[in-house]
This record gives sequence, C-alpha cells and structure tokens, in this order.
Amino acid sequence: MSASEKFYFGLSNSLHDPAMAVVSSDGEVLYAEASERLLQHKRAMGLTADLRETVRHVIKEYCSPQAEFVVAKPLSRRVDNVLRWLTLVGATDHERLPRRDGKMTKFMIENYLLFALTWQAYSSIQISGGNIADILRTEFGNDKVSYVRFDHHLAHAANASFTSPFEDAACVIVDGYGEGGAISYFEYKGGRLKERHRVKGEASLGFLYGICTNLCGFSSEKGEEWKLMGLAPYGKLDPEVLDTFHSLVKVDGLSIKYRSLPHIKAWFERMKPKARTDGASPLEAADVAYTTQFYYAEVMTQLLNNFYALGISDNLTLGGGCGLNSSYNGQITDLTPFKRVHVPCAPADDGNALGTALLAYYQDHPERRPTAAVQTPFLGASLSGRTLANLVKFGRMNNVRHLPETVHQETARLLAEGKLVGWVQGRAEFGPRALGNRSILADPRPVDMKDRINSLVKFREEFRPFAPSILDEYGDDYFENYQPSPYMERTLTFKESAGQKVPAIIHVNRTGRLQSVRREWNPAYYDLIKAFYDITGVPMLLNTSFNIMGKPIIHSVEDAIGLFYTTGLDALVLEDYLIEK
Amino acid sequence: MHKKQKYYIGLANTFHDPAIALVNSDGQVLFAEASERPLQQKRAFCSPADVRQVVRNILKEYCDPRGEFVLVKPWSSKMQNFMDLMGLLGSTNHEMIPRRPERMTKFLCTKDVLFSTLWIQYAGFKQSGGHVADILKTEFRNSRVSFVKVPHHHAHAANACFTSPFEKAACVVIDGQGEWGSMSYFAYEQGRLRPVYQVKGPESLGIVYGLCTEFCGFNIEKGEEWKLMGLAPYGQLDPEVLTALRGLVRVDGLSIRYPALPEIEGWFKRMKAKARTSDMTALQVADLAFTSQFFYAEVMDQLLNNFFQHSISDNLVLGGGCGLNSSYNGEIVRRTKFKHLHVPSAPADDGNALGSALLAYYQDHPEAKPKAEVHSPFLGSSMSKGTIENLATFGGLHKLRHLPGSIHRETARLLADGKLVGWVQGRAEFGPRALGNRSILADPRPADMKDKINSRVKFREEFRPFAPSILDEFGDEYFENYQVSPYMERTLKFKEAAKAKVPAIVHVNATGRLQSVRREWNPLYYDLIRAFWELTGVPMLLNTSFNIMGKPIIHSVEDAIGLFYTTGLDALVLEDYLIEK
Repeated sequence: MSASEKFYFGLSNSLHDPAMAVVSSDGEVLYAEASERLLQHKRAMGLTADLRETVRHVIKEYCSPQAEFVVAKPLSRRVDNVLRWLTLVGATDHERLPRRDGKMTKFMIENYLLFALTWQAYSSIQISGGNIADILRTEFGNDKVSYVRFDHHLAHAANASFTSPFEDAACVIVDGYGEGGAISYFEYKGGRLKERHRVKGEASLGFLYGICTNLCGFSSEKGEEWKLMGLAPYGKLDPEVLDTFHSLVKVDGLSIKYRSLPHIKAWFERMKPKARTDGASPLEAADVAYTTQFYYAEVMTQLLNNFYALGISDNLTLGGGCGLNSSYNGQITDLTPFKRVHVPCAPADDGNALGTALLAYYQDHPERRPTAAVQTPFLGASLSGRTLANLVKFGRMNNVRHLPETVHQETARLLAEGKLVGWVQGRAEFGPRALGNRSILADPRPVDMKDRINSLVKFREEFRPFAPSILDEYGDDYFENYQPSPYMERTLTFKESAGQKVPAIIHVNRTGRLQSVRREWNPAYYDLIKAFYDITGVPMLLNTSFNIMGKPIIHSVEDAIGLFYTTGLDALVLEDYLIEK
Repeated sequence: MHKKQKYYIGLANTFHDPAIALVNSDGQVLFAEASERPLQQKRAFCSPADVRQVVRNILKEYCDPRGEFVLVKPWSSKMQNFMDLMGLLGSTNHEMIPRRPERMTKFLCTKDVLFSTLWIQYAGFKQSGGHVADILKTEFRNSRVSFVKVPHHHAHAANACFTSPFEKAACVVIDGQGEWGSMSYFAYEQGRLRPVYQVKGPESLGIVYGLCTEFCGFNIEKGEEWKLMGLAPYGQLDPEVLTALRGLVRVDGLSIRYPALPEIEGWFKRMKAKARTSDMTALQVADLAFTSQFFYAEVMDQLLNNFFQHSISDNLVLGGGCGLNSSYNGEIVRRTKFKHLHVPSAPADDGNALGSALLAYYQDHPEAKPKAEVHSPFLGSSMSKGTIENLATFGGLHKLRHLPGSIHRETARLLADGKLVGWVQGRAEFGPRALGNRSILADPRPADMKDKINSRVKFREEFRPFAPSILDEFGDEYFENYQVSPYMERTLKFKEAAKAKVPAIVHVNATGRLQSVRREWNPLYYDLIRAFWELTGVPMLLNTSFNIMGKPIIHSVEDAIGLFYTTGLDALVLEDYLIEK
C-alpha cells in the first residue's frame, strides 16, 4: 500500500461508555464500536476503550499494520495536566474515597461522589490508549504512532456535524459534563467547526436529568434516563416540582447557572418527598418524570431559540448525551425556529470515539470536507462466519433453514403470524439503538404485543414503550409532521387514524420513537419490512434492541443463541439462516 | 445483639488476571472469582478487579450492608508509592510507548516493553479498588471502609499456605516478577508466615519460561505456557538449548543469577536460531519445549533442595504463577527431599485476591488459625436460577429433561455411550482448572476421543492432552506413586497396565494431569464418576474446561447454551436439567 497510508483511531476514554473508532486515509469510517458490546457489560464502566482483542482484530481486518497510526482522544491535554496535579495532592487516589464527606457540592452531588468521579476520570485516561501503541510496537514492530487531543465538546460537535446531511448548521452540545462546563455552541460551515459560546461552571442539564432519574428510582449509572423519558407520558405537570426547578436554575441567554449552594440543598429537601420510595411502582413517580421532561424541554427551547437568534443556520445538529432525549428531539422543529435537526447515531460519549477520529482526520486534510449525507450507523463487528458455520454443522437443531434469497420473506411471514423474531444481520449498529441489524422484531398490530415482549423476552417494566421501524415513504401516512428519523433519534406523534392499526408501538401519549428505513440505508431490513407490508398492508415493524434488560445488545453468535433459548423468542435469524423453536 | 460484621475484600490488582475475593468475620471464604469470567475476556487485561456488577452482586448476596469492609490489595505501599512516583515523572504515560528505545534490559525485555508494563501496572493500580469503595460509600451508606496493602509475595504465600492441608510447611513463591524480585521463601507454622529469604533483582525463572513459550510460537499474554508444557513430552533434550539456558541462569543458593547484558543479548541470538518460524508446526519445536521444561525442573530441584536444607518442614507449599507447572509439580516429591506438596487452586495472580483477604483476616485475628485441610475451590458464581427456569420455560427444547436425583446416572450413561457432555453444577471453580463444576466431560476409553474433542469442541491444537478426573480411592490402581491432586495441580505417571484402558487421557509420555475426586469435596461429581465406573469399570472421566480455545470458562447460562450449539457437544447438563441435541 502507499507509504502515506494513515489510520486514525479515535478513543472515547470517559469513565463510562468507552469506545473505539477507526477512520482511513480517505476519511472513510472503517469501524466504530463501544467496549460494552464485546464485554457484554452495560456501559463498561471502568473498562478500556482499546480492548486488546478488538485492537488486534481491527488492525488485521481493516488496516495495514505498517502504516502510520494516529490515536486521537476526546479530552484536552490541559485536563490531563490538571488531573496530574490533583494526583500530587492525592485527589485521584481512590483509597481516600472512604474518608470523603457527604457535603453537597455545587455540582449537585456529594463531595465523595465528586471525588469518585475525579478518580474514575483519571483512571480511565490512564487505561485507554496504551494498548494500541503496545500492540503495534510489540506485535507489528511499528512505532509510527502519534497521539493527538481534542476538546471533549469539540469531539461531540464533530461527531454530530461531520456525519450530518447538512452543509452548514448551528451545533449545540449538551451533556453531563465536558471540560469546565456542560453546554457548548458551535458554528458548522465549509466542513469546519467554530466555537461560538461555551457555558462554564457547574450547571448541567444532563446531570440534573440524571439526578431526577435517580429520584424516580432508576439508575443514571446504568443509563436509565430512558426510563424516566418513557415514564413521563404517564404523568402530569406537578407545579411544585416545576417551581423547584425554576428556583434552582437560571437561564440567561445561552447559559444556565445554578443558584447558590443553599438553593441546591433546598432543592433536594423539596424533592425528597416527591422521590419514589423503595418498592413503589414506577407510576408513583410519573408526575416527577413528566415535570422533569417538561422542564428539560422548556430550558432547551429557550437555549435553542437564543442560539437561533445568532443567525447561523436553519439546521441544527445536536450532540452530547442529551441528544438521546428523543422525546424532545422530535419536538424541536415545532418548538423552535430551527427547520431541520440532525442527531448522530451515537450522540453520547461512545460517539466521541468517532468524533475525535474524524477531527484528527480533517485536521490532517484541510482540503477535504465531510459528505453531507445520512451516514451509515452499521460500523461495528460482524458475526463470526466460522462460529455460524459451526452452529450449522454442530448445532443439530431441527428447524434450521438456509434461505439465502428468501430469508426476508420467510421472516415477514413469521412476523405476520405474530412470532417474536431475533434478527441479526451484517455489522452491528454504533450507538445505543438497534436499527435492524441487532434487533428483536414483532408485529406492531396486536394490542398485547407490547406486554408479550416485555414479559417473555425483555423481562422489563411494563410501562416502557416499543418503537417502530417504518418505511420512509409511508412516514406521512402515519405521523403528524413526519421527519425522517434514520437512527431512532426522535419521537413523533401518530396520526389519530393511523395509530389504531399499530397499537403495540404507540406510547400512552400517542407518540412513537420511530426509525425511518430507506432501501439505500439498509437493503435487507427494508426488504423485510416491505415483505411484511406486502402481507399485512402495514409498512412497519416493532423493533427493539436484541438484549435483555440490564445487558448490552448481543455481540456474538453465542450471545444470540444464548438469548434465543432463554427467552420467549420464536425464531432467530442469523444472516440468512432461520432457526425456529 | 447484632454483631458488627467485618468483611475482607481481596483485590488482585495486577494488570493481568484481576480477581476479587471475600472473607467474612469468621475467616470463611464467601466468594472468589477472576474478572475474566463475567467479562468473558481471557485474563481480562486492563480490567478492574472490582467489576461494578460483580461487586454489587456479592455485596447484596453475602454482606450485611452495615458492616465494616477492609479492602486489601496484594501489592505493598512501597510498590504503589514507587509507581506513583513513576507516574509523576511521566514514566507511566502510555503516549510515550512508541518513543521508548528498544534496548535490551536485565529484565530480559527491551526498554519499551518495560515501560509498557509500568504503564499498564500503574493503570491497574489506579483502577482496582475504587469501584468497591465507591459502591460501598454510595449504596451502603452505613458501611465503614478502609484500605490495607500487603506485599505481593506475602499474598501468594498466604493463598498457598492458609489453604493447605498442612500445620507446618516450607513455602516457596515463584512468579514472573513480584516486588523487587521473583522468588520468596517463607516458613509456615502455627498459622503464621515468616519470611525466610527474598530474592531481589530482575532474574526470574517465570520470565525465562515465558520467553521459551514465545520462542515456541505461543503467546504468554494469553497464558500459553500450558502449550509449551503440553508440547514438551513430544520432544527430546537439545544439548545446545540446554547449554544456552544454563549460560543464562545460574543457581546461587536460593537465588538465580543472570550474566551481564552482552551475554544476555548473545543468549537471545542463540535462542532465536532455535525459535519456531511462521512456517513451522508446533511439533517442530518440541525439542525446544522439552529442553525448556527440563531446565525449569533442573533449576527448581536445586532451589528446592537448597531450601530444604533450612529444615523448616518436609511439607512444601508452592505459590506464584510457576505453581501452575503441573508437570514439574508431580515430580517434586520424587526429585527433591520434600515429602508432601500443596499447590492452591489459583496459585497465580488471581489467587492473590484470596491470599490478601486471608492475610488481612489473620492479621486482625491473631488467635485464629487456618484449618489444615483441603479447601474448596468452588467459590465463584452460580448459574442464575431465573435464567435456567427461563430456558426450561421458553427454550422450546424437545430434548430437555428435568432429572433431580438421577442426573448423574443419566449423564454417566450418555458418557459411556461416547457422548460429549457439558457439565455445569453449583459454583464456579476459583483458578484456571475446571474441576467438575464447569467441565466438558467425555469417556476416556476411546482412542480417538482426544482428537474428537480437539476438533469438534475445543478447536485447539491436536498435540494438547486432556486430563482425567479420577475417584481418589482408585488412584493407586492407575498411577505410579499416586499422590492426591485435588485441583489438577500435578501430573503423574500412569501405570503400564492402566494406560491401555484410558488412552484418551494418557499423554505421549504416559502421564496425566489428574484431578482426585472425593465425595466430601464434590458429591455430585463424585456420584457421576462413580456411576460411570459402575457402567464401565473405569473410575475416571476425561475432564476439560468448559470453554473454547482463546476464551475463558463459561460464566452464564447463556454462555453455556451459546457454546453448546456452536460446538460438537452432544448434551448439556445445567444443574439437574439435561439437554440433548
């Protein structure tokens, strides 16, 4: 290969959701995957971004081992230096954790939790990034490895904007915490990002949402903000709760600020009686959930309106963990003057692996520009062909069929009969949503389908809704103010009439977190839904991620088989093999 | 009335084989497991000892949340302070790895590898321990937490001695590298360890053995020293290699010495000429393997005999990674003056989780003494009952039978028919060997059984032998100079007459790395082998770990099912459920 060949490894080295992405000399994304998948450990807290097994596999499969390698990290060197100084005074030494007190801090967490996060941040920076250099050097004799750093929010912005279908956009990053603040604003033009404003200080909309998630009896560590969002439509506005938010947070232009520490303490005191008690039904906390989501929307709308006023663009790209608030994402074009919204498939920290690799690439290639098009999210690992062959050879299952041309038709038929199907094709999705390559699928028409899947397969709470995958060309038939939603990134409202046809995927407030499917984005999945439509007249399937509650999406053939036989799935499709029970 | 419970949590925080162990106020071992199991990543490089999900599970299952928790790490403060200093000086910065010189050092590795090791160990120190402290502080608010550090080889010695059947013993710890040296000698008496001698310096028999493993084309990172040991009996002594090895390592009392650097470099050159190249089969380096093992035994003999001179005891306890050299372990009683040998179930760094927890416990309880008996290795996780029930309910498996009370008889019948059976019972083994709770079992009589399992189940090299589990009372009938081997820790020679009966588990040199089974140690496994004996007259089964090559032993029901259907296993036993294909 050419001497100038260069590979850009992006690493998400935060304490949660470590991930790795690889971009080629041509700016092509070769690979992107979160560590949680291989390890089958939800969010992979405390684990490394560059897992040795994955690094070896990726170098062999996608790279020329003797090329140049750039390792890009989404955290400035300044942060490293600050943490190193903190190490000098023992502030990253976890052995001091037990002695930290429980005093409330301005970050809205106790002193010891702040300490724990500092330690974990430092520890994650140490652990992620060395394996690539070590493996290249010891196993491939290659020391042409350099390291580059980017600001955390800039990496989010790159992931959100460089993968967008826009030539220009206003870009907002909202997450738990970045470098010195939790909200940043960028201008995206000519393939370049320019920082417009950065909120400094402790205030964080993402963190506040996480705290409310915990108050509702869910776990923000496990990323259960989803549950709060799913629960919200069951509740109604609690004016008292809303008032506590108003007395806590000041919105000013593009910034938010917490009022003083006494206000923070007072907020916790006032919220205490509202919190879900141990063992109580989640529905008890529905009003808190509703009001939290309501308040989130209120603040976001103000910030977005104020940002729009800068006159950057009618297009918005949204990144950072708050980009996962699909309920709000679907309302943005209604509630703000922005006309179009793009949220990437992995807006949270896992996506920074990709964002930072792309930043390194475009820094090296100032003459190039990202393509303004919907980018594929199918960037992860494939099933091992060998293991699949072993399954066929050794599995001795009665009902295995190899259907190279017709697996979509046969699967559609099963689905139309009400069967629950695990559907695994090609490369895994990058980001939290299953988009038809690692999905559990079902017929959206039966009223009881939601309960069936929750109780037979996912073993999860009954209040949680399921999402539809819909053929893009039928979007307008089913949704009010339809917008394409390629990554299940937004929730829209069903049309009154259409909704009755597909009760299993309609949430209590008549919305659905849809995935729009076009043939060019995923031919096999498109063909499947189309085949289902040919049988039923419904251009839509219920699509939920192929996992059980508390676990990440399955990664290997073994994972898929293990889950198939320990849940109420009726059939499993692995590439073009169909297995029935 | 409520007595305050105190728990000792041992954390093996080396960069490889992290593990966690839990000991209660009575000195009882409640739990011990390596992180590789839940993560399903062989050796779990760069992963914490305290994987958050595991920590939560064991705290909930075994601990009083109001208890006092002592978190024990098997590396001394001195060592950790040294690493912190290296950290401040930038020596642990992994971004420097590509720029470190490739100069040979007295550690028998180049400087860049040495720096990689510094980085990865520093990261391990930073990472392991904080998660359990964090979870206790946040989720067990009434608990008290403190940290203790113990020297690395002390932890190995404690793990080896406190779990031994001896009141009194001479204890040798030999590993890759501990703190400032790779060998330590202790006297064990009255439940207390007294350091006798500690070797200081870079010399390490473990590292030399590891290098020979690499010269044979195997991988020490993956722990493939096994392969060297398995390959050795196919070869014969290569005098040139022996001369080279003798030129490198010289025994001096209880120490070993290396020559000066230029001679070390000369040694590498000579060995590289003998090393396996990519076009060679493993068998072509069998002489190298044989001579490496031969030399290891030669050096060990000298060291052990020299130590015996200290007149501490006729009993020897062996710990550290070299304790896994079962070929040599089986010869110790014959070749040295020691009369009895004990090696724990997990002599390598994973075992230090247990060793350090026990050390802290006995430091706190000077009046308590470990029981001199064989200790149970079944200290890990159980299969989830809920998932097994789900499998029975949802699996749609036509050949699933629930056989409480008769599962061993039915399984024995299948085994006698030549079936390959995955056998999963109770709690997982602590340490690298499957001892009848996470095992793949087969009939040892058919001559082709070894090849069948290697090619259809384990997908591993054909030269590698399989081990027998034998009813202890039949040991003398089958083995020369039979010694009890409860953890498959030693390899013994088969009697000539016995050999022909069980060809599948007789290695090319007429040995077998046996497990002795007594009913009191594992009733169900005993009953199974007994039932097999009743059918066949052979009191023995072929027992290999329930995994495929390159992966750790299975951890969950899903793992077991996944492996069952993707390999040539004929039947799977999960507790008292039997599934056939």
